[in-house]
Amino acid sequence: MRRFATAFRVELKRIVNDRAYLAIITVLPAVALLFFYCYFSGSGVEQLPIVVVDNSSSSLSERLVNMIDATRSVSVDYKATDQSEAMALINSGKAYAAVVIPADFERNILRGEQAVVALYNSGANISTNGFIEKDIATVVATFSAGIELNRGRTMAQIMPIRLNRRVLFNPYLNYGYYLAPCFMPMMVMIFTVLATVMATAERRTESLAQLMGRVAPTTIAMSIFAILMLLIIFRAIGTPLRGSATMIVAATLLLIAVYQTVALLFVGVTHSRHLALSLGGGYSVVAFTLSGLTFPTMAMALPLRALSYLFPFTYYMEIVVDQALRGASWEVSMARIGYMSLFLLLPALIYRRL
Amino acid sequence: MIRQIISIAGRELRLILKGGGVALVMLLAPIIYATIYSAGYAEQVAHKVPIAIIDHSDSHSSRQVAILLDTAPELEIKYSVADIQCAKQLLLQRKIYGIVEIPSLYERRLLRGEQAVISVYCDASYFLMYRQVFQGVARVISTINSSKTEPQAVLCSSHTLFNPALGYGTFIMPAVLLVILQQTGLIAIGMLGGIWRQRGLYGKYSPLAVVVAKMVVYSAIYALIAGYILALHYQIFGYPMRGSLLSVVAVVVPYILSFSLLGIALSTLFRRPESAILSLLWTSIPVLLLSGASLPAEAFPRWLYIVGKVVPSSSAAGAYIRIETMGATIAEVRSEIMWLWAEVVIYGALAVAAIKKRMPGRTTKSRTSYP
Repeated sequence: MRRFATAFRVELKRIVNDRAYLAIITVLPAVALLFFYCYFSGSGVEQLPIVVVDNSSSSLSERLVNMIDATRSVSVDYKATDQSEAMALINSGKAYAAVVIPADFERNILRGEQAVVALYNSGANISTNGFIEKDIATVVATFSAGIELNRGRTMAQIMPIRLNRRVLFNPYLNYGYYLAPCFMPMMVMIFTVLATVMATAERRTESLAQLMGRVAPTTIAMSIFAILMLLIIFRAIGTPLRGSATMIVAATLLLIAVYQTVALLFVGVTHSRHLALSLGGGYSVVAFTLSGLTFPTMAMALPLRALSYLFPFTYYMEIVVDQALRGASWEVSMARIGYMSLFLLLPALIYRRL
Repeated sequence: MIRQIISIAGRELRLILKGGGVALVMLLAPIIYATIYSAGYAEQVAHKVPIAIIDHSDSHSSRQVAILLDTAPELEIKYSVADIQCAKQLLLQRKIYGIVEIPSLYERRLLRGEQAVISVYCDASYFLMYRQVFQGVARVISTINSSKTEPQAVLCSSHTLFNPALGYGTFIMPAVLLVILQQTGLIAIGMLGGIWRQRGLYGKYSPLAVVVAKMVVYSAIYALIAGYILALHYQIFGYPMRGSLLSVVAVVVPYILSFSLLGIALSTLFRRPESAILSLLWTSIPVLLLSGASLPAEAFPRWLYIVGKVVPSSSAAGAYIRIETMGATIAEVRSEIMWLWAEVVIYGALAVAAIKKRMPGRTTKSRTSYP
């Protein structure tokens, strides 16, 4: 215990005397969390600018354009006279999509013939693409059904099968609810790895107690930031927390401990502060892609899927998804807590090299 | 002056190659990161997402729906279960990502000419899975509908202009690759700045010569790396390359110059090489998000987007995507190119001023620095 206390005190002195080391366990994590808080305080994907080419300019086409403009995700910000003008607006980044209404739009409807509205969606950004596609397709279907009802047809004739969409776990389809619990732990994880390397690299370790004393300031600082982060995610941003809060807190604290041991592994293997920082940093940055949150691991090629399970962050994200969004019981996450804990044994491999 | 520049450039190259950590970050890291990220997204879309079906109707018509769902490219019916509780258990175990429920009166209602309802439960905890399941089911249902009815009064014919498969890699990787170039550049240049301060090199040359020499060396190196990533790597992973070479160069040249100069200005702040890694590593994800290339700029606060414009990648990513993915011309990305050149001038001036500040006032060669 005395060795631990001495090492802890010496480490605190080192931290205070080293601006960069001090920054990564105080100011920079705070700035990073503040950034994500501001980033997710926006309105979400709403009012995406699109361009309309209304070749019909009739009262019916005007009504359709107004209906499109009234949707949540789309805002008709531009009217173009022809298609090439509309394409130029898309290419210059001003509009995400173009809706083209043909000249015979109203005439066809009045004659009882089919009118076709064309939607040209950019596709370059799949997140905007999906929202625009869904909202405009829905508006056109509603508009079309209105006309057919006027013609005396019943809903069963217009649409024999209605699809009833039930959104499980994230009913508002809010990207923030889904991305905040992923990006913010990434930040804590990166700083944990860097600070642990700073505490241990290129120094001789005399005892386990001394090693613990050196890494303890990082553990404490990052645990405080982790709690702050969870408050921001679940209170300030408002991500639902349907499952066990205890489990999420436990998993987050475990994540910090696990990434500290991973950092020790890099230190033990490289014996160089530069190298351990670069490799440890790289390992933590890559974790996001492989965690499967944005692009699901199930869809990855097999080697990548296997690789993803060498990153504790993958298990952590699954625990967060299960507990926060899906409202699973805490037992569901115990196996993943177990897998994550296995990483705690890593330093045993290289303890003698530290 | 010219001699100074050549001598600084020579020294810088030696530092990069012999400095141990620097070469790893500057030369290898961009290629390693680019490969891992691209490989992770190489499958582009989730095919055959497993779903469960609850068929209360158990009739000819409902089985027809099941067959059509199973043949859709997005979907695969992995389980047929009795009730929603069973299906939700499978969902929690990540064995399925969606549930389709057909009510018991399904066939009878269809035969009677009444509207039938099919429910789809989509798992929105994974957005890509959500999209695949919902779109797959919606398309199948609308195909069945149109086979049973007269043509709709108004049809929406939807065309996806670029990235028609809606691939995730094609969507996100162009921006990620540009951000990788800039972030590894800023860190590596910052590490070199740390070495300069440790060794007290700043006092030996005129600030302008230092900036010019460093800029030439870094730009040359990053031109090569960008050449590899934006041409060869791009081709290996099949990302769209619709832009002309000239328009690509028109964006990439001021981009490399501006982040190199920003890097030189920032590098004067670091007392040791590792300070650059410690201070800058975490910024990669915020920088990527600020470009508006993943979530659109409309989704986060306007002021944050404007502040984000100080980072060269914020302008370059959007312009590059529009050129290569969408085939935009130079004129269509003019405002971004102008902004990048403005950043070249501003960060160039800042770099000279910052290095002037590091001059030790001709008295001492080295200042206190940490070991």
